[in-house]
Amino acid sequence: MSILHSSIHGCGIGLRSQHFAYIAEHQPNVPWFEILSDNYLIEGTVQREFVQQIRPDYPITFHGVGLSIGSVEPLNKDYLKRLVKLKNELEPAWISDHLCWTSAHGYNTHDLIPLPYTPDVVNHIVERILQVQDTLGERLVIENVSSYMQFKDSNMTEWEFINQVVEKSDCHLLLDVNNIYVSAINHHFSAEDYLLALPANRIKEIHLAGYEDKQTHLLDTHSRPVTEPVWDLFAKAVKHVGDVPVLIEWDNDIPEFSRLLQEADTAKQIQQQNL
Amino acid sequence: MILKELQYDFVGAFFGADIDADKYIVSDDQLTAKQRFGIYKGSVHGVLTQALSDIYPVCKELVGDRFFDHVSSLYINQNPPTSALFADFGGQFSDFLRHFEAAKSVEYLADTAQLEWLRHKAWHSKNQEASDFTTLGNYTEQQQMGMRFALPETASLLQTDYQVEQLWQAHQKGSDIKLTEIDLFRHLNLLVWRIDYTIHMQELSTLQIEFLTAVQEQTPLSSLAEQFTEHLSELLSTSLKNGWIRSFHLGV
Ligand SMILES: [Fe+2]
Repeated sequence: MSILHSSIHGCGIGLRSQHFAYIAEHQPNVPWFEILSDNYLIEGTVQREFVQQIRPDYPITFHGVGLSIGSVEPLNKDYLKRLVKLKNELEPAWISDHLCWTSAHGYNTHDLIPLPYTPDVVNHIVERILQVQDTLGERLVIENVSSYMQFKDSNMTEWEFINQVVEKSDCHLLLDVNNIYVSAINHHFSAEDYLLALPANRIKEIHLAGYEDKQTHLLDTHSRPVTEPVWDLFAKAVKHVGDVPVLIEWDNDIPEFSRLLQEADTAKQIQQQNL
Repeated sequence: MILKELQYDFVGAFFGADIDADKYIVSDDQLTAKQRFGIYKGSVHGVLTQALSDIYPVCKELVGDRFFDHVSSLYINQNPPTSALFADFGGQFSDFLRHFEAAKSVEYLADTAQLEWLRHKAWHSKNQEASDFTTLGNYTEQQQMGMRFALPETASLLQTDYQVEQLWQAHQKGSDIKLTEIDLFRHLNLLVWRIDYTIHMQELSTLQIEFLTAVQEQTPLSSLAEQFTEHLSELLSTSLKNGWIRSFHLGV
C-alpha cells in the first residue's frame, strides 16, 4: 500500500515548468496538480526530479497527447512502457489522453487532429483503448478535443461518437467544457445538446481553459482566461455531472501562478452555486 | 478503412505535400476545407517553430526572426518529428544549417546550433548517480586495468573552429562579454554537461578532449595508460575532480 496521497477533489491546476520555482518556494494551497505526462517520460531529467520532489505534498493526475489513440499505426510500445514506468513512480490518480490522433505513418504532429465519426472508427478506437487499459492495468480517461474541421465521412454527431466509444471500451471521460464551446461555435451546433448527451456517470474530471477569437473561428489556444460563455456552460456541466474535480489549463502566454489560483477560485464558486 | 488514407494524406500535407482538402473536409460559409486544413497545418508548424526558437535562441538572434522562421519552416518539412518525445525534435538543425546555402555567410552558425543542441540534450538527459570512487582501491590491479569510465549521461564533447561558447555567453542577458572582443576564429574543444539544475561548459585542452573521447569510447584503463602514458594520472584526477567522469564499471 502506497503512502502517497492520491485523492483528487476540488479545483486543481495544470503544472507547467514556468511555475516550478514558485511552487518550490511557496508550496501553494492547491488540491492537486495535473502533469503533462509526455514531458516527464525521460528518467532523471530536471522536470521529472521536480515532480518527484513535490509529489508527497500534492496528489497528481497524468494528461498526455502522445498515445495517439485514433492513429492507424500500432500503439507506440516504447511510449507506453515509459508511461507505465512513470505511473509506477508517481502514482497518479488517473491517466488521461485525447480522443483524436497525433501521429501516423511514422511522423508525429504533436497536435490534436480530430477523427471522422463513423462506426468503423468507433470500433478501431475501442480496440486500442482496450489494449491501453490492459497495459496500464486501469481505465483510461479520454478527453473530447476542440476542432476546426468536420469530415465528410462522419455519419454521427461527436457526442454520439463519444458515447459509443466510452460505452464499448468501458473507459472514463474527461469533459473539456471549453472544447465543447469552441467546437459548437466553429461547427454551429448547440453546446448544451452536446453536454447533456454525455454520460454523466463516466465523467472523472472537467477541464477549463481560454480560447482566442479569430473572427472566422475560435482557436483553442489555452492562452487566455476562461470566457463568460464557457463559465455559463460550466455551470450547466456542474448541474449535469455533479461534484467532479475541475482543472484549470493554461499553456501559452502563461501568467503568474496567482492568476491561475484566481481562475480556480472562480471555478470553485460556480461549482458550489450549482451543485 | 478511410482513416489510413486520411492520416497518410494529412501527415504528408502537414510536412510539405499537397492535399485535396475538399476530399475529406466540409466547407461552409465561414471557411473552406482548404482554410480549415490550413488552421491545423499552421498549428503544427507553430508548435514546432516555437520548439526550434526555444532550443536555438542564439542562432535566432544571429540570423534575425524572419530568416529563422523561414529556415525553420523548411527544416520542419524536411525533418518532421518522428518521436513521441517532444525533446527529441530538432536534433538535425545544425546539419541542416551547415548545408543551407543562404546561411553560409554566417559560417559559425551551424556550430552555434550544435552547441545549443548539446545544451538542450544535457537538460533532457538523465542526471545519473555518481559511482563511489573511494572504493577504487578495493580492486586488484588486474581489475583496475580492465576498468572503464563514463562521462555523465548529460555530457557531450564539441570540437569547432569557432569560439561559439564565448559567442553564446555574449548573447545571454546581462552578459559582460562584448561581441567585439571575442576572438571568434579560434579552435575550441568543449565539454557540455549538467550537474543538477545547472548546465556547465568547459573549454578543454587537446590532450583533455582526446582523453575524454577515449573514455567516451569505453577504452579500458590499461589502454588509456598506454595512450596517455605519464599524463594519465593528472588527466584522471582532473576529470574526477571536475565531475567530467561520473562513473566506472569493471570491464567485460
Ligand atoms: Fe483539455
